[in-house]
Amino acid sequence: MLNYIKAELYRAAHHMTVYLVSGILLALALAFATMWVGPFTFPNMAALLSVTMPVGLFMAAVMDVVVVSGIHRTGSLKNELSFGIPRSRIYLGKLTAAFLLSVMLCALVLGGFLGLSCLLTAPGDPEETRVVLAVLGYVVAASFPLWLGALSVTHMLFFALKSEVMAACLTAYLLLLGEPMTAIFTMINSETIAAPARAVREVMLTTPFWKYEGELTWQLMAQNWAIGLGWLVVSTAVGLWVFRRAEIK
Amino acid sequence: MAESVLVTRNLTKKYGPATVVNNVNLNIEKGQIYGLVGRNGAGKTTIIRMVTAQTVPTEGELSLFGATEPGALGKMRARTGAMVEIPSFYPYLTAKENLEYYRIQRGIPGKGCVDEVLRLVDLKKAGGKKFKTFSLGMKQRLGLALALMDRPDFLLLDEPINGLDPEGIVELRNLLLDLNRERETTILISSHILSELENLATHYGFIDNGRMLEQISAKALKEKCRACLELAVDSAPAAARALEQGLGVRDYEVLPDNIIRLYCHLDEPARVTQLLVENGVALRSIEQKGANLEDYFLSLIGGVRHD
Repeated sequence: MLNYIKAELYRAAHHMTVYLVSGILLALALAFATMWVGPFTFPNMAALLSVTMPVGLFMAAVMDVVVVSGIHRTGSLKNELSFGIPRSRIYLGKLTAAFLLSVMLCALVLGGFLGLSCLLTAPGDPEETRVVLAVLGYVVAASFPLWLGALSVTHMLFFALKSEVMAACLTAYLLLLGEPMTAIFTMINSETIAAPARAVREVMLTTPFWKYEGELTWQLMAQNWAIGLGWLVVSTAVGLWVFRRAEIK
Repeated sequence: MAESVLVTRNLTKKYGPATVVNNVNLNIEKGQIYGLVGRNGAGKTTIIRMVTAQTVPTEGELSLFGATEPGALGKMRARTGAMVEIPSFYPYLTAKENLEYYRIQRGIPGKGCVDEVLRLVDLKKAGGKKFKTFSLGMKQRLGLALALMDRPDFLLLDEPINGLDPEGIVELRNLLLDLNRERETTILISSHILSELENLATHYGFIDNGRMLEQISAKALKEKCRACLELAVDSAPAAARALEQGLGVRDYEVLPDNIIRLYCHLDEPARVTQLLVENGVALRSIEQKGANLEDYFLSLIGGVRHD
């Protein structure tokens, strides 16, 4: 498994898209930081960062796409299978590599933003800084499993569907429109539709981000981990099940 | 007894109602160069795809180096090298990077093997070029390089000659013969270019419509395809006597239905006819026979189809 992950990281290191995506996201983070530099102190900037957590869902999805895109189109999977690499190792190895890349990208963007803010803004009140950084740490920790869920769902869709366009559209729908569309059903004046819609909305990957506006409790943290890991486990199980039976050409 | 490398028992693959491979029993032993002969769509590639785990058999079982269980089969596949259909690599990586990726993935120690196989397939100079710029022939060579990277004991090649220029075909043939001779690499090679297989194979499997029609050694096939005069007579024993006494021949064969195959005096059909008539043997027909691999295959499948 270690060799498999190392090979995936070697391949990603030679993929222009990794540098392009990282560069664009870092540039956006730095541009966003410089926009607020004038009137803002460092704690203000850190607080600002706390509200950008949903972006992590897309970063995770994009990093997974970098790893898995072309697996069906290039036909390279047959090289791995014919050498006797188990399908589960291929699926999980690529998932782990995408996860590691996402963590690296996340550290780069968060670090870049905070580093630049630290350099360009006034330090602010130490107590305020401590509280804001604690909040930032909390939201990152609470968002992490949701990012992981987004990553594994993207992974499952790209493995299960032969059409990458279809997989990309479904991923985008799930991360962008899934929750608002479900929210519409919760407003229907019929409990037979609204009640299940509410239940579905509760476990969607994007819903927990709304709750950061309220009280940040350990219960919320636990809920997020349950939702994120639930998506990870279910989508990985489905993805593996489909991939084990797939015809590889 | 030689070690069995690949054995299949009633191997079957169905796609919906269509049976693409139908109860195929294969037996490839160590050191053989096994030519899988069949038309397009006969089931050759599907058999190789089942052996290389790209598709799961519907029925039957296969054994690789004696292993039949899925886990053990996976381990044995590590002893194989395969090139199935058009070689597939990452287009944005160079030839060398692609091979390096698979080297790391397979845990093959030492970077030297990448250069070695690139040299072996004459791609050393093109190692720094991106795969997307490769011609079909170069892709075939790179596919072969990957198949050879971990010095496999068993090489599975599906139509490896496709896209190669004449020089490349000769080089490939020599390379495969060297591997077979020097490393005792067992090779399964499928091709529809039968003249090329004739120069390589030690054994043949003829497949049509998913069914294995015949498995035969090259030696036995050569014997069957030997040039001869085929005589249809009213009495084979009388004709045999006449041939032995009149021409002193020993190199002949008596087949059912009073057919005699004479492997000498091929350019003297008139003399043979006269001798038989003089000895009171009625000759129904006399025909010069002899076949190459292509003729033999066509006779097996019942001639060229025009559908």
